[in-house]
Amino acid sequence: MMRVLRPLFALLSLTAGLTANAQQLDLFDPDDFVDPRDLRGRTVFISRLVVGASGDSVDQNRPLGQDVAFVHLANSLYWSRFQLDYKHSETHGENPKPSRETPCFEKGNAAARICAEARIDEGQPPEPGAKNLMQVSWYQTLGQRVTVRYRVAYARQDAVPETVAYGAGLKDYDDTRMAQIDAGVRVGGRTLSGYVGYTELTRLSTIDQVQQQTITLGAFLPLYQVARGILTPRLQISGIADTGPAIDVVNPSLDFSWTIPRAGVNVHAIYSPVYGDLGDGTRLKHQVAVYADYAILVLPWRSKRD
Amino acid sequence: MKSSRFPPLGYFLAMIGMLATPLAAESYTATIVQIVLDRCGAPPTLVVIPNEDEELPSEFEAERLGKSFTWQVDTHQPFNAEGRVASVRFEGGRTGCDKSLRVPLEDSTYPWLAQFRFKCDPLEPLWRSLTIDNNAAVPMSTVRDLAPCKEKSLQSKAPSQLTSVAWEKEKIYVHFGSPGKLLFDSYDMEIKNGKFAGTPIDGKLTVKRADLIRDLDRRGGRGGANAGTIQNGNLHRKIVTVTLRNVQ
Repeated sequence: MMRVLRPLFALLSLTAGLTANAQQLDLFDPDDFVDPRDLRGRTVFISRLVVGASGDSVDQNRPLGQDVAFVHLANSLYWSRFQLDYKHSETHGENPKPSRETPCFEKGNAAARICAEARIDEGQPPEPGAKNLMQVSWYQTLGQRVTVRYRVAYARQDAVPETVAYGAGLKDYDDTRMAQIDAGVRVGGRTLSGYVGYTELTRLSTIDQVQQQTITLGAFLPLYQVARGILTPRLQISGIADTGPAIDVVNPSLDFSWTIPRAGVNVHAIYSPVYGDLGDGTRLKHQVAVYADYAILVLPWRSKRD
Repeated sequence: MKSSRFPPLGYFLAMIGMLATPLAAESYTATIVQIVLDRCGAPPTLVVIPNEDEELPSEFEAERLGKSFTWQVDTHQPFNAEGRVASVRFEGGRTGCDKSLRVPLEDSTYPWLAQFRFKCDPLEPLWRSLTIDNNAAVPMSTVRDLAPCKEKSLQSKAPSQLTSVAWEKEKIYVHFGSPGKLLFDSYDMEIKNGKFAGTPIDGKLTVKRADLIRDLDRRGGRGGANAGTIQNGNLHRKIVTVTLRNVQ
C-alpha cells in the first residue's frame, strides 16, 4: 500500500492545495464545500433530501453485492468559518437481509472464540440499513485564492452482530471516524479542489472488533458543461489496511447533474467504478447511482455585525 | 534532550524577515501620470486605465504635451509611483499593459511622477463593443482581464457598455448589485473569448438566471448542491435575464 501512497504524498506536498476530500462518504452524499466568502456574512441552514438507487454498490470499499435504494437527509449549518452537518440515511437492498449469525457452542467464556472459528466474515460489509453521520468542519482562507477545510466526522451504521452470543460484548452497529483536509484553489476563473482523508472503521459487530484504516487522496478535475447539465469528474486513490493484506483501490467517478429550475431539483447520474482487490473475488465493480436532491429547507440570516 | 537536524522554525522566519526587509518595494508618492507612446498615434487626449487598483480612479484622461508623443495628467490623488500597472485607450483601440517607472520631477509637491511607456504593435482590428443589460436595471461592476491587464470598473448603471474589447482574447467578469471586490473570479458572470458558457455572443444573446447559476456551479468546482443554493441566494434577486449585445 505505502508503495503507491509514497509518491502520492510527494505529489500532494508539491501541489499543496490542489488536492484534498475523501469520499469515504456514500456515493449519494452531497458533500458540499462552501467557501466562507460566498456566505457574504450570512449564516445559512440547509436541509436537503436525497432519494435514489444504486447498482453494484460499494460501502467503504466493501462491495454490498446487491443493488440498493436509499433515502438520505443532510442538515448543514454554515456559520462564519464553520460547517456543521448531521446526516441520516436509510438504505434498503434488493435481497432479504442475509443472516450473519454463526453456529455457536455455549461454553461460557469460550463461546465467542468458538463462533469466530465457525465463520469469519469480518471482511464483508454490513447489510444495507441506517447510518448516522456527524461532521464538524472549519475553513481557512489563505490569501485571495486558496481555501482549506479541516473536517472531523463520526458515523454509526446499523449492523447485525456476528453472533447471537451478546455476552461477548458485540454491538448492533459499526463505528467510523474520519479526518479530512480539503482545499480549493481559484485558478483562471475556476476553482480546482482535492482532498486527503483518513478513515478508521471499527466493526463493533464482529467478535474480533476488526478495524479497517483507509488513507484516501482525491482530486476534482475541472467541471464541464454538457448541454444543460454539468459533468463533474473526480479521481480518488485509497490505500486500505485491516487484518488481511493491504490493498490499493482506484476509484474514478463521473457525475452528470442537471437542475430543473422550476422544481429546484438536481438530478444526478453517477458512474463510479471501483478497481482493487475488494475481497469478493472480483477486481472491478461498476458502481452506478441515480438520484435526485432537493433543498426542503433553506434558512439564511445575516449576522448582527453585518 | 531532543535533537534535530534542523534549527527551530523561528530561525527560518527571522532569516526570511531579514532578507525580505531590503527587498520590500519603497514607496514613491506622486500625483502625476505620464504616458509616452512610440509614435503610433497622436490624439489630443487618451484614456488611462489603471489595473487592479483601488487607490486611483478607474479611468482618467491625459492631455498631449504640445507636439510631443507624451501625454500627462495630474490625478490630484497621491499614490505610489513605482510598479503600478495600466493600459491606454485611444482612437477605438487599446495598448497592452505596462508597469510604471518613477521619473524625477522638479518644482513639485511630490518629487516623482509615474511614467508608462508603450510600444505600439500593429494590432488586428479585433476590437468590439459589448453592451451588458439586465431585466431589472440592476447596476453592475466589471473586470476586464486581458493578460497581464486586469481592469476593474466602478459600479455602473445598466446597460453598461464596454468598448475596445479584444473579442477573441479577453475575459470579462460581471457582478450585479453591490460593488464587486477585487476577487473577481467569483463574479456572477464570466464572458470568455466572446462566449458565455461556451455559447458565442453573435449579435444578441439572452442569458437566463438558471444559466448564470449553472455556470457559477461549473466555475465553483466541487462546491456541491448547497453551494449552488447559496450562489443562487448571492445573485441579485431581481436578475431574471441578462442580455449581451456585441457590435463589431
